[in-house]
Amino acid sequence: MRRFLIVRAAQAMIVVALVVTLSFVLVHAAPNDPFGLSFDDPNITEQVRARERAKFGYDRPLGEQYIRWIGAIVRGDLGVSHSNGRPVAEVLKQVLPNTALLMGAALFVGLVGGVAVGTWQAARAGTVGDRISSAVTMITLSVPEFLLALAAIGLLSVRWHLFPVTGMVDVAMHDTMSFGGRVVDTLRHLVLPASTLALVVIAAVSRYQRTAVIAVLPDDFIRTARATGASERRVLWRHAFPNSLAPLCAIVGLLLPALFGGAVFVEKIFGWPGMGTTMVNAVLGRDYPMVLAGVICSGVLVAVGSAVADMLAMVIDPRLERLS
Amino acid sequence: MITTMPLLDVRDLTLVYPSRYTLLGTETGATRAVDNVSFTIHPGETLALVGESGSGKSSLARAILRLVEPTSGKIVFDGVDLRALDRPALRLMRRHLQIVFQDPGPALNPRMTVAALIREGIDAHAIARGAEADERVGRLLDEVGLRRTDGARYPHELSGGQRQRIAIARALAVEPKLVVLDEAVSALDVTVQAQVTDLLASLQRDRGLSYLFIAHNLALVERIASRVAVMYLGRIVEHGTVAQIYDSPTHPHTRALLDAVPVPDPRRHAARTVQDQP
Repeated sequence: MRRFLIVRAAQAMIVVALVVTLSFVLVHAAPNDPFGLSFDDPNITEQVRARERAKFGYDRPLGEQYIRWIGAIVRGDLGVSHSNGRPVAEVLKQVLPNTALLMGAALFVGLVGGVAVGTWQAARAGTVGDRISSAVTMITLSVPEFLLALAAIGLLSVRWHLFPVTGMVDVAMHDTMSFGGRVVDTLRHLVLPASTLALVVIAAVSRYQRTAVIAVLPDDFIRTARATGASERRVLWRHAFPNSLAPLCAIVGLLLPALFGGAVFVEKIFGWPGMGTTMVNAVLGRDYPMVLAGVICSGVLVAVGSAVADMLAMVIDPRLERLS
Repeated sequence: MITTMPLLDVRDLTLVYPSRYTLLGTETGATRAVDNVSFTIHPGETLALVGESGSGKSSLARAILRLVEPTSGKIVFDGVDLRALDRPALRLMRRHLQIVFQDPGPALNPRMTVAALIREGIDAHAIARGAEADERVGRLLDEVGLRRTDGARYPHELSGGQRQRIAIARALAVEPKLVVLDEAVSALDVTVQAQVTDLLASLQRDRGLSYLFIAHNLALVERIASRVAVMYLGRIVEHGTVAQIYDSPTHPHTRALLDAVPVPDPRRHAARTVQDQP
């Protein structure tokens, strides 16, 4: 297991290094720079912009900028975010937990819900219940996330006033609340954005899980379990289910970065102060250090996701233990 | 002759796999896998069912246990008409009627330890719980010649012969009256075949089990069975005591099966089977 982690960490570093280098080139290749866009006040002269650029070294050759930047990263210095006017590390410290809360909630609800729905469908494949619920999941997958988000806001927040429209907390009242009140306040704000993301995860995961369980059901050991006298529920959950989880592990690895991307839209729409909102603003403002920090985060997430997926696969299948 | 009521009485059992239509609309013909088969098995007795592959033996085995639904006919087990049972009643009846499949590899859940696999039936039928269930599993491991420490291992860590012993222990865990051995030794090495067959014979003596011993050749049959039924194209074409079948086979297919048995000296083999006649 230790060897596995070391190998995976080395692989992750290579992947992140490549992705970051590519992103560095792409971000700088995009037209304009942090100071061409952010200071669109007509009173600011070209000299001021040039001074600012020189201050951050953006007037140097790209290769030199790259080496300086990498050097700073290795020392743990992510630079200063132009769009936030603060060190990048400080911004991350503030927004990453918010995104982690949103993604964590969506991933948990999405995985549990998707696995339950898919397994339930597989057990009655071909019946009316399976067909109707399959149609619903397909429709959910076809609709873009931001439309789901807007529909949720329109119905549940604006019309029925069940949930707040935007933000992560009630800005006016939050600080006056007790600890329990603040938790409830945050959860109330979390419901809609997390559900929107979770709905898409449920739809995707249930499709895979349905197929995986259907693939396992004709296996010999299922027949053995029935012949032993196990109930159908026991056959499904104790025998078919554990043997259907291998594809799911691979999907979890892919879901993490996909959710990170999906969170961008959902955060923007719900005004959730997380990585998504921050990244959209950073890209629009050509905030090089912030964009690249975001890329590092998602690169690490991809590596962690696939490592977690492989570890999960080992946990659920005793036959794989020896392979590591 | 045996005068008690038969434990299993199969009458005119027929299993037809329905025809299917391909995407292009061509029809594949329906298959009569089991065609009007009748036989009985008495308590403590072993009936061998022999036939080449594709003759319908496994289909018959699965139809008897209703792992596939028979098309017509009657299965009376211990006085109960199995085909009349609903699902929950059938599930409870499985306690008395177990099966060991040919290939123990895919037939054992790979995610479960040996002990959990054997314990499955004990839990499913609420026969024992806690430490008592553990003790039962341990005794079953002893009985089938495995070590108690093997209980913590997974099936893939054991050999084919050991896995078949697990499958046997799993079947016996619910204390059945009849065990269908669906080519239970065919997939094993010849030496292991003999060991497992001897194990089955000794378990039968100790527990008073009845067996339906299914095989594709006659090689091991006389080691365990008293009567033999020969199956060919879904029908039982010949039926008799081991001696009758070995000494005076009437159906050409039986003769072909007999010719396939490797015997170093046919006359000595014939003499031995005559001696064994009751």
